[in-house]
Amino acid sequence: MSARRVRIEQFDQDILVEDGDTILSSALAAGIDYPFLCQQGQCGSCKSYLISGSVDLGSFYNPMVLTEHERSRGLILACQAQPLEDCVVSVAELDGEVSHVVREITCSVVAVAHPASDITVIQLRNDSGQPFIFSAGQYAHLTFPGLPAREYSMANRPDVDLLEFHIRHLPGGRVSSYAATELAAGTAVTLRGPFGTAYLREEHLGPILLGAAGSGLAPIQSIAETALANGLKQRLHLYFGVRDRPNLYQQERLAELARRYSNLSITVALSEPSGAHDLRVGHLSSVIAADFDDLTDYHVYLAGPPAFCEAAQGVVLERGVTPASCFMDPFVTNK
Amino acid sequence: MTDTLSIDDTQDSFGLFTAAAVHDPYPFYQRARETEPIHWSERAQAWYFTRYRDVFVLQTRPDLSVDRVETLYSYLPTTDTDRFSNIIEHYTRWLLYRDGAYHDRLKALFMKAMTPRAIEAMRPKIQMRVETLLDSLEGQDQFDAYLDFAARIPVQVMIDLLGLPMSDEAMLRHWSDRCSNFLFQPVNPDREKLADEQRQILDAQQDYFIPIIRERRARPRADMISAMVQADVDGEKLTDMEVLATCNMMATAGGGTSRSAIAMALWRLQQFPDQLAKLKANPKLINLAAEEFLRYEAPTQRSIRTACESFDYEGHHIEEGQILHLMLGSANRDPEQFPDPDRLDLARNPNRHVTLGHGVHYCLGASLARMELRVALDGFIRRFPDYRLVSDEIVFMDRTASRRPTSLPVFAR
Ligand code: HEM
Ligand code: FES
Repeated sequence: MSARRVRIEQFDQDILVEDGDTILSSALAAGIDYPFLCQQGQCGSCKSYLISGSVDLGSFYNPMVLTEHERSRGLILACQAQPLEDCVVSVAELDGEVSHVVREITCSVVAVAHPASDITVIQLRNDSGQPFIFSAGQYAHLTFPGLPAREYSMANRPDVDLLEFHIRHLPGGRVSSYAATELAAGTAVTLRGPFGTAYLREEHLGPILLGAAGSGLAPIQSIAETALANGLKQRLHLYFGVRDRPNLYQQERLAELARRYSNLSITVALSEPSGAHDLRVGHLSSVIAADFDDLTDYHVYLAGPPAFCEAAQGVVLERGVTPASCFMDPFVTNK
Repeated sequence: MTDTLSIDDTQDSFGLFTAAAVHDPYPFYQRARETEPIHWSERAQAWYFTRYRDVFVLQTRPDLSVDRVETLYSYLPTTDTDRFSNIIEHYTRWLLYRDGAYHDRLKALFMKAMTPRAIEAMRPKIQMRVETLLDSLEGQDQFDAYLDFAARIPVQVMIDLLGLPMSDEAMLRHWSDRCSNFLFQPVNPDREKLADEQRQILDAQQDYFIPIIRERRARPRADMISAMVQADVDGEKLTDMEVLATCNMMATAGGGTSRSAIAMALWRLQQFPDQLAKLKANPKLINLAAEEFLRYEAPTQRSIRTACESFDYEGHHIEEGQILHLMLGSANRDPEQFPDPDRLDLARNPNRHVTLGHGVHYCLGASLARMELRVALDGFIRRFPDYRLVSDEIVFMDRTASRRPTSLPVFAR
């Protein structure tokens, strides 16, 4: 008989798992409130990330509950997992909420683009050797060399390796000016996260309204792409608002998404258009107000400047959305 | 064939079909496990598997079918069968009775609505329903813990899940009871009468559900019916009749079973006072305890399969087309898998019982059933910690394929 030591991050506790035992059964025996329902690889409650080490998952679990893709991303079922060596695991969800541990990781910039007059899109590679685990819609603190940390939302799907961020250029903003003018591929960046509660609730069965103003598109894009890739079938209405045509970006990417998924519709609005265009005109919250008179049973995700989020929240609450079904993380705009 | 023979012939199939087995099948299972764990019953014209390892393995064999169309035909009167074609059509839309692609695609769809987070999101609602029922019992010296408590919860939860009005509770429970009565067939059934009743219920369900389904198509909400009408399975939308059949399947498969589980847990706890004391002292034990309740008393006592082709298994030759009964209730008391199996041990860990099946047909509502059981038991014991049974004898419904009390009178203190 030999035993492996398994560290469970959320409980800040080490347990010993004897040969032939699973992480779940040993954790329960140790009095840890590890989430489980079935103990038979059939429900997914015990889903966890394997941060380090290796486990044997056997073959009894249901491949719909833990897909090949999830397995390749380091997810395991604690009720099936027999550790093959000492391990560190991180519980994916506790009490119905995501429970990602905040980590600080080092990344490097692999691409910088300026797709709109006031937007820099960057892609980061995680160089830390640790996984960076987050849910669609969450954000992180980015620290560029010699500059203060700033909050930016991940714009990519959580299961995509390269991290994408949208940085809006604020007049006089130190970090955003740096990103707009100096930032180049190869730069080292420190990332701390994830944070935020406005992440995609995949369990929702009703329609979804997504409202993004400016660089608020980042989390909204991540939520839309994740929802569609994960097979959500309800209607998704994505509203994207910017000031004028030169502020628009990601149009081809969004159009492609709408072509692939018939349940996604996209509406773009300009608040101060100059010149010819065939887009909707008005502040995004007014456009949403005009398009919907009843939003009962909707989930709503809002991202962008605080003024937009407040106005749009008012609009959707008036139309029947409950406060608990309107998700947004108020951002403080640091210059 | 029928799975509800109730013959007082203790020689046949180790007495599995006797009236005594309806009340307490476990000694009969034990005898079967110890003497002839795999046996062919001439009477039932079926194979019986009573050991854990056989039941476990056979549930994952792809060459065993769950298709029950022939069985359903055998439930109908032999004359004028056309009149009952809507019954067959209805039940063949249940994924529970389907193999292959139709089953897999529908199941994948519903599993999205049964994720741990979705179930967790239902917890407050289930708690609210349970607390309201407990409030209504408060102040009574004696009440029926089955009829007035356990039997109410699953239908109310299903109504919340499907997005139906709570005022339809009694009607929906009636439908689910009568459909399960038809599917499990009572002893000596009057086929004509039962089939006629089914036909009427299915017509009434059509009048009730189709307008709701159409409304959800036009204006989706955050409920299961909306999820069904919005989903496409390989590019095709589910038809109104498929959605209707699935609603009835969920209400029927999830109604009788869950309420039976809750009631039997309350019953058995009284026979193991040390375990009841343990649970009272440590309410957190409920998560593991729920598994032990499910192991100890399985509401569905068997899974039924048909062999798609002939095969040899453990020295027996199973012919194509033969029926196999996988005895879940017996597997759960197999000492090879569960040490001291007749002891209720709320802290048993791990506890890989087969009460909710195993393999591709694993219970779709398993997580929901577990949440209901955890919340209901926890709430009940907090509210009535000193409850006692009015009588040790409880009467079960007269069938052996499932186990459900008819009532459970208790003293509140
Ligand atoms: C304690 C309560 C429950 C018990 C004991 C139970 C038992 C079972 C068993 C043993 C099976 C497998 C049948 C087989 O292998 O042939 C099953 C399947 C199924 N159950 Fe449950 N069940 C319960 C609650 C529920 C609930 C609440 C629902 C409603 C959502 C539900 C819906 C289903 C469905 C749809 C299937 C078919 C799954 C498939 O064929 O893939 N059950 N159940
Ligand atoms: S507890 Fe259900 S999959 Fe592990």
